[in-house]
Amino acid sequence: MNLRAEGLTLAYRGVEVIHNVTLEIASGEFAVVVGPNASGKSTLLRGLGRVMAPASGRVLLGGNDINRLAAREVAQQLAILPQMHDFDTDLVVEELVWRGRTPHYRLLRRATAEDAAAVERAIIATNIEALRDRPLRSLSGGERQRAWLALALAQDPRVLLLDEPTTFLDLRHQVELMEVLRTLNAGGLTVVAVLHDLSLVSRYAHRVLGILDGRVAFDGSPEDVLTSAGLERVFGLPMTMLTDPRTGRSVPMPS
Amino acid sequence: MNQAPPGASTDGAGTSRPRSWRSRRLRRFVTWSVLALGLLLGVGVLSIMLGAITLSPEQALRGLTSDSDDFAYRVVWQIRLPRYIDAILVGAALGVCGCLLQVVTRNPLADPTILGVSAAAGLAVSVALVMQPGISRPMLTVVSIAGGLFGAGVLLAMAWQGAVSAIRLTLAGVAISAFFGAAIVGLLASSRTFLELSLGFLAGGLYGSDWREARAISPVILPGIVIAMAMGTRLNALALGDDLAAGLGVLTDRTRLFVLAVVGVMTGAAVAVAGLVSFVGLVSPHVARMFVGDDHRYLVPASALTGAILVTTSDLLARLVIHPAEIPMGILTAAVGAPFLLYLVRFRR
Repeated sequence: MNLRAEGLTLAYRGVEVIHNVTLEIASGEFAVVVGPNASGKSTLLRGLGRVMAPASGRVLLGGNDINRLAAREVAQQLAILPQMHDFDTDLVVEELVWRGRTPHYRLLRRATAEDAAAVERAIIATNIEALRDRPLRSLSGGERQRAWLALALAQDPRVLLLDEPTTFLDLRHQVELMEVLRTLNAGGLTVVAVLHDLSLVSRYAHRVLGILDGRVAFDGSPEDVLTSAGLERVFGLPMTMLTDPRTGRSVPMPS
Repeated sequence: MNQAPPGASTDGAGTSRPRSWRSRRLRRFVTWSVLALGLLLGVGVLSIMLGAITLSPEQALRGLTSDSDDFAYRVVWQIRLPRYIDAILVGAALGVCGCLLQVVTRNPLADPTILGVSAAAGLAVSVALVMQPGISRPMLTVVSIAGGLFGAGVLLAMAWQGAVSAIRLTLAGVAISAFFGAAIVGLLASSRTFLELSLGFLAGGLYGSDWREARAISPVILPGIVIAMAMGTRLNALALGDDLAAGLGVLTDRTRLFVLAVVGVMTGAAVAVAGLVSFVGLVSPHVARMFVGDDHRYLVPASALTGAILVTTSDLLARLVIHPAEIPMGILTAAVGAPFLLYLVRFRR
């Protein structure tokens, strides 16, 4: 399912953060959003995910304006995972994942086999079968992030938006999480993720969007847009491009 | 009873496995409910027997079941049973309001008293009592509910757009509470005739309340509890944070508005009957959470039960500590609640 922003402008209490952005994420794409802090990446994601209503412009999910659809209808097709946060609770992992079924519930409707199957798929996809009965507060950062991801997947979305899913994770857990996302993407899920680590970006993204001051600074395949000139313009830092000897892809490094 | 979905015990690999968290939650809830209902019933029996005049168990039973013993019949049916019912309604309402506020403000120390909703309702009641001393019970309840809604509205204005931190909301609540509280005391103190009445109202108590109160507030409080229970899944989503809840299809602003309206109405009803009872809304959800955990489908009814136990017990003790006279019940809820608050502040992570 494709996701399209048309002249999208997002503002907090009248202060514009995203200015008139038009972009389209194709169905099945793995798109990554990069940019410096406070460039508006998270805000853009919130606008695309219907968490925030546009000041002007619109967002189309599979051709339908998401702000005209019911919130529940959107949530059945699109999941958004905000930045990792602490949440003091006695929930166990599987219980948290079940909360991902919220958009599929109706008043007084009981959980169905379909709900159970979706939860099961999410747990298997994120490789947390062994953790399902563990309390959330006993998990490591990497495990917890996979549990949150499973929650979003239990929504059974066609499009998944993630805000810095790898922040605070060590290298191994970062790669593990990205591999999970790659597998899901290969299975047909459209993924849009905000990431900071440019080496992960070059390794996993089909498409990279650079955001600077609330506008799209560059947009294209990693080969095309991950250049020292383009990155220096967005991050304000001189970059050296290395080449991954295994894949031949270029990997940016601050120089 | 068990909510496990059909076929849920079979996972993708085809192996059978118990839904342990589900049954664990349900078991914790049932255990607490049975325990709480037992306690409530026990307090009820004592509430019917004990007061200014002590009824023996036989007298109480005779009074409850027939009018052969006219005196006991009147004490049970006209004084003690209605007052017990009032206490249950007030306690359940405050417990549920505390639970709701703690979710929508994402603040474990939220409660209608601390956030000023009770004080707003109390001010409305005080104004009504001063201006029209003979005001009827239903009318007073309506006025109090209007006050509660106003307090909830002020709170909503502070909390709007979800960007307000828990600490700022709490401070704002403390300020509102102090302001309205001062206005109440000022108003009641300047109209001397109400001083006796005022003390019970300010500290919170059920002195002299009977069926009229129960009739006035139960049409508001019972549906309020049912509505709060029906919101369980939405509250569960909201507890995960606003952005995630929005991503799960929950309209966070509308939910917050609706919940605060329910809180305003229910708090208003409770204040109309019992005055400014403190700490019940704060303590009940925490006690309930210790027993049933963080699932609001269970936590809301458990908070109602816990609040009912707290208020009925406090009301019973209020009649016994300086027997045959009585002290305002709110003194006892505060005596239990304040140490618990200190415990939360000191030991809760």
